[in-house]
Amino acid sequence: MTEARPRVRALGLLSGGLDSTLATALLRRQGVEIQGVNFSTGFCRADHLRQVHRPGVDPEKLANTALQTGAEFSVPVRIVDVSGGYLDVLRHPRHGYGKNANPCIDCRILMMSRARELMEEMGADFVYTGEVLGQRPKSQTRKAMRIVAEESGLGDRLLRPLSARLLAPTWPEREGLVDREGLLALSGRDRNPQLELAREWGLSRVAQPAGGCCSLTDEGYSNRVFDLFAHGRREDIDHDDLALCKVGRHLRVCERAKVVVARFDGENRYLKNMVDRRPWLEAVDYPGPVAVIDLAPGVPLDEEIAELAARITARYGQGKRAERVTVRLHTSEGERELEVRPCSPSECEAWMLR
Amino acid sequence: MSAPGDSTLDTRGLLCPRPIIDLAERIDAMAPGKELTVLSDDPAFGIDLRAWCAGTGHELLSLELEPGPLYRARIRRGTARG
Repeated sequence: MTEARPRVRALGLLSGGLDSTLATALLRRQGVEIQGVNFSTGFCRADHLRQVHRPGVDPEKLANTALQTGAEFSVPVRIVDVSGGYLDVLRHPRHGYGKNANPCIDCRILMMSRARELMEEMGADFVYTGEVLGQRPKSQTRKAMRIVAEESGLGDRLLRPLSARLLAPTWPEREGLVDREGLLALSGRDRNPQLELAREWGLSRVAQPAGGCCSLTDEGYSNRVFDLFAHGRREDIDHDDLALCKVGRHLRVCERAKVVVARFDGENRYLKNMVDRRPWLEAVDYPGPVAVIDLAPGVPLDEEIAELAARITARYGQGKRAERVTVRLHTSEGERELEVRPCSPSECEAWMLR
Repeated sequence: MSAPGDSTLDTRGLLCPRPIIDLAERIDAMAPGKELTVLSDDPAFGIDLRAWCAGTGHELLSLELEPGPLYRARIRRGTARG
């Protein structure tokens, strides 16, 4: 083990995944004092699982993995909400999207810019991440990693310990704050070398693969986001709209509206919590889901949309085979009941966003 | 929700990661050695709180799970930032 000089301080971006945990272990082995930061983007799938959890679920399965990594190394982890800066990044990513709605390079620039501010605030020497060259097709190419370092203003204060020996020496390496020879030369998508190291170093927990936590890398979620963009919502989309894309079945019934139907009780709870400004429905005489009507801006709720939404609500409840089902519609003006014929499966299939 | 001068932080209704973000902000504003009670109905708050305290060095004096379920925790501020 190589000792770096005392009081070298680094700010580490911790997701709690395997790579950032290993990068932390590596620098700790060099005696670097670490402050962790975990950026909350609003798109973390693990956070969402917690929001729609089923009663009785094992809390261990819902744990925040970045905090667990901090506990493992006695590293303080600060969770920082950067969701506010994300809307512009999502609407108009300067470096484009990945395979889905993931603007990974712009996302990394946003995070690293914030990390630079935090580094300066706390008087840290540099920032590090668990990125591995070539592991992610969009954001972890040599070119993308250089762009992120430059455009965030971190420049050569950004160290990637797991691939450092394949990259140009950074400031902390040149100044001897860390021992470059003790850093790694990992590249590519094969995670076996990391898993082997984790075993060798006795790391007690290994979380999900890098990149697996972001909803924006999910095809279904992305299709819902792009559907909103295609229906005139690119400029006024907000966090509520994006949160709604995370739950339920989404049925685009017309240009003016879509209907979102919960799939289980946790989603019922979630939808009810976010219906402040949207009409919502539930069947009266049969158990069934909560459904929300998402109208285009400025579009009033007319009878045609209300009836379609009621028929869809009935279709996914236990009255789906009944001739008529009574559905209660809640709006900002009050509530009323509609008696409708449930939609057929094929009607719903035709409207379903995949 | 609680006011900054209270010794109780009520995060009921807030979900991950908000309770820990709010807790860190509140603890940062307190002097070392001062104590704070936190309430949360986030299902994994207990496990997150233990980990957060282990990382930051703030002392977890008690952690109870009450019917609801509702977590009620008492924390003494250490010297580190949240």
